Amino acid sequence: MAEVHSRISPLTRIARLGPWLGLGLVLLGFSVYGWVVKPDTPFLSAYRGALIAKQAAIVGLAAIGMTLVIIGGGIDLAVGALLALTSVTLARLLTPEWGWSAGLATLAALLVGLLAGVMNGVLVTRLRLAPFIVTLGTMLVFRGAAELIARQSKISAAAPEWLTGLLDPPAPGSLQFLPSGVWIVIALGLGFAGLLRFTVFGRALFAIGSNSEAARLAGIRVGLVQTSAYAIAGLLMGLAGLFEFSVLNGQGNPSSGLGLELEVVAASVIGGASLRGGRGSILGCLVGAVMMTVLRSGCVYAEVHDATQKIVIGALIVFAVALDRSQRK
Amino acid sequence: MRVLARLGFGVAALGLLFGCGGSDQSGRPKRIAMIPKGTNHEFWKAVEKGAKQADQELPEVEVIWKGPPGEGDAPAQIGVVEGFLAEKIDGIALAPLDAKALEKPVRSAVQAGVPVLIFDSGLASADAPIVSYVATNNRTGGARAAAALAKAMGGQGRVLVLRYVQGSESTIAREEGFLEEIKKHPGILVASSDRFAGADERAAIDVAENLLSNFGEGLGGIFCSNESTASGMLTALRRDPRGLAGKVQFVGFDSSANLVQGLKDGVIHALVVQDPVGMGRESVRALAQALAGKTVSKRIETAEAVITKESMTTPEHAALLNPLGPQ
Repeated sequence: MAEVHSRISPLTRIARLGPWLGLGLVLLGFSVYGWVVKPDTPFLSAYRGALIAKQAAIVGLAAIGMTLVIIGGGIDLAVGALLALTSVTLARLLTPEWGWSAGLATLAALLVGLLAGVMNGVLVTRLRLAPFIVTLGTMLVFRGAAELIARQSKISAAAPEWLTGLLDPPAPGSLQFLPSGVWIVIALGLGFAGLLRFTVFGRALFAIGSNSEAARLAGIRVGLVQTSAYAIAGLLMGLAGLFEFSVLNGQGNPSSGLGLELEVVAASVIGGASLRGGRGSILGCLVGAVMMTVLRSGCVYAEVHDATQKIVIGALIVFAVALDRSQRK
Repeated sequence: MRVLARLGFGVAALGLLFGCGGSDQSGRPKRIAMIPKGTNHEFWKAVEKGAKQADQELPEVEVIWKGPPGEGDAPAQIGVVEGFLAEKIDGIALAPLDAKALEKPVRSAVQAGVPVLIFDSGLASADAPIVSYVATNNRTGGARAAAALAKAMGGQGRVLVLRYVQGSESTIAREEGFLEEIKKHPGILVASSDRFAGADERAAIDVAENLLSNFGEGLGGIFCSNESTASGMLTALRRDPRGLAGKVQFVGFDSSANLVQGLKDGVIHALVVQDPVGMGRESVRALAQALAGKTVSKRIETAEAVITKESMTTPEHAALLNPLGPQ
């Protein structure tokens, strides 16, 4: 108990335990509510687990890319619009009018995401423009392009099961347990966490985010590394576009992902990323995405009013940023 | 040329100001400008179809269809109204994008002697000097949805209402109309009615899944107040592992290919749909009557219909489900 009086602030103490603690607390809170108020239907079940994983998949995927960009000292506000662009591209190419095979259309959607990401990266690094402004602009460019491709209405297209079923729940009793798309997100999360920790690229990204001038003087190719982060983020939004197409039951919708960027930034920050760059965690941002989904699911379970739910999630985001600040002092 | 055009414009404007535009000359058809909220959505294309039908049947008027460049852009729509005033139009039919912002140009049109008819959604003040207001009664539509749902549920059970977005007048009227009517059935309990699905369809699916996972067991009926919300609920029902699709009575509002399929499959019990073709036709007819000096009813309600799986193949309902006809 003596530590209570030490000079380390209690906020810092909580922050060090990371977002996992927050997720644990939220899960525990709703479970306790369940035990007390409705013991017949406990909060945690295999079904709810699969549902939460599925609902968090798109935000989680986007948050992996966002975290890489934020660690490198940038931000990407165009993710929501890019989700719309890649999903309508996919849907348009699959319509009889174009008649592309599912494999080729998938590759094209991924390529569109990659190119959009490269474009963001090049504009930020070559023209030395503020990432906030550049991606605010490309957000409108991507949204407009999506609306052009979709001719301002939803596109419905037939596709094989491996594509439309990406986020469908697996057959009951199968050992797969989670939708295949969720496994892809988990694998990518682990992969990128390893990339950050064990490769030169990862160390360079942290170095640039902490102090880009020092990184440049140390011989790191700042522009190339930063552009790569945006490119990866774009490619992941191509994949997220496939997920969106699957969730919407084989449709591309030009108004998909409105406001998604804020949710994704929130997931990254809750997961420990600092908007000043140089800090962030891939697994943390996935936990952040899951935590916000758990809150939403739990608020319906606990019959919290819609408006109150927004206040709760908003307060959580501010609290996470406060933790971030306290740790930096 | 430019000077001449300006001069012409000025003379026209003066003419309008003094109400002697010379539009009463017989023989020439009167020009009616019809200004929807947008031009891309199927709903507006169906309104246009009805307006064109009336245009064909009435030789004394000529309908000019022109929407704002993008839906949701009230200033652009104001610009369209002002443009028509400048070119000496005889009458205007307008679906205001913003109940308050469009009031001013409407008043200046009326002052300039151009009668204005409002369709689809109203203006903010009830005393606006308009010829008529032609629209569906959304409150009645909601009430009819409630009656259909209550009947399907046998007057017993728990219902769920998934709302669209805050601040959307038409859908809120539907939701309120629904809740008011459902209260009249003592055996029916509203389990939840405070959730908004939002405009994003994926978010609507998420909310619907969460609601079903919580209230799904023992649920008797569901109401959704617009196309995207009903679509989201339909997807969530179809994916429900307990097989709720078809077991729970589900009533939606508006139609689309997706919802019609749900109706066909028996997952949706009924759809309440508006009659956009009728709205376009009635608007032009009423405005033509007013221009001919006849009195017109201040409020014209276009019908809404409750369509079930059984009635969807009747010619009348098939036309309402697919107002633009086979494409």
